Amino acid sequence: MQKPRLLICLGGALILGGAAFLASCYWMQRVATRAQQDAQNWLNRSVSDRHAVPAAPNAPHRRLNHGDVVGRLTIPRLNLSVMVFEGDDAAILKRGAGHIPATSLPRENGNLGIAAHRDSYFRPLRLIRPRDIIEFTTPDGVSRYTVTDTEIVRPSDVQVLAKAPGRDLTLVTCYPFYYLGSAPERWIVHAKKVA
Amino acid sequence: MTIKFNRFLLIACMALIGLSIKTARADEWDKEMILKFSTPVQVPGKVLQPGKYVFRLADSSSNRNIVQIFSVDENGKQKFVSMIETVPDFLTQTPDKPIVQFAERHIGDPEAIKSWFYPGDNYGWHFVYPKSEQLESASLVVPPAAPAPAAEPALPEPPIETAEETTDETPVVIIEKETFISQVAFAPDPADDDLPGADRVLPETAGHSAAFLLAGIASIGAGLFALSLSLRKAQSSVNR
Repeated sequence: MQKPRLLICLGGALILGGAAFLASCYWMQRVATRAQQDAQNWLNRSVSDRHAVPAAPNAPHRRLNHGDVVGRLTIPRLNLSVMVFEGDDAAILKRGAGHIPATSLPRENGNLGIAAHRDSYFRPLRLIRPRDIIEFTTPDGVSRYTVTDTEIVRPSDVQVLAKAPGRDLTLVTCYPFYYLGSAPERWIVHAKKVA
Repeated sequence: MTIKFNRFLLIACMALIGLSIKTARADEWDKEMILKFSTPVQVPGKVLQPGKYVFRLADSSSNRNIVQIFSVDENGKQKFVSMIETVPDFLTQTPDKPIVQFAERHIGDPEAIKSWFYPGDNYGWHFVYPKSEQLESASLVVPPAAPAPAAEPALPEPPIETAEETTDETPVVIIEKETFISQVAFAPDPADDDLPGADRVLPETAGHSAAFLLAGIASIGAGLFALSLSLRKAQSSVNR
């Protein structure tokens, strides 16, 4: 009689633990969806405000702090649309894509680096092809990029974020795409500005 | 138990044999060739700058005419350059060495690769250019020679051929065979010392939602199994 009781306790504990895991998954998803929605609303408001009152040509750009909304990244062919926040730490990447600090911003000349999780927002990147169009929308306007190439690098290969001619946008996510835990490599997508 | 073990052993041995055959025949299968160009050359939709490139067939059994091109940097790392749909080409004499055929272009334009052939194969791969890049009439067979650069002494001795009618405009090609490193990486511009965050690594973008989901499902499954087991035990003790 002792053994069935033990099994009941064990079974109950496992089910509770499993439910806790699923609940945390749901919670993370909910937080991310909420953050994406809020950021989207903010961007829409900012764009309409900018249309209503155009900024002076020499007006200073807003300073970005950690967690601020940078803009929206869209890849129409892959139906990918994600809001990008300033920063690339775990907290930011739970909410959406992150602008890698020290890389350029859309309004600047240089290489804009954006990272996101390979098992959520950037999962479709495994299907990206050269010449795919990437759009980046900010309150200042829409920048268009075209994919030039992709590569797989080690996490220490930060030179992929370096400024180089014809390299205006670099997307970073983990590789392989289907892998449990911290993936050993990074999937890199390079794109150049077209408009 | 012995039979099961033997079956397992047999399957494992067959898998190992299959794997070694695949490895041994990888070059034959993908027709991998390393080409070095001394001047820019054109392939459909792209101009390859002087350097070292890997040409190989895509790993597809249904279509053996897709050619993948990778650039190889100084460290031997490969970077994907282009993937090109080709049409079969034919040589009456079976080549015993790799052959690359070029097509003439206007003066000042890079030479265009017309076809390439793997040693021992009559059938090669012919690059089809869009009308805007149409090839001009005659083609040159150019497997010319150039001394291997001093920076790469460790490479196996390549089969080098010298073309008798090489002109100044003709790119020099060295065809090599070697083992490849599958890792790919970008070689940065040496002049570019403005690497952002050089003291750090690329962001950790793994995410753990999939792991949490799997752990949750597995845990609930195990819990249900434990409960059903306890019910069975309870029933059997009642029956007794």
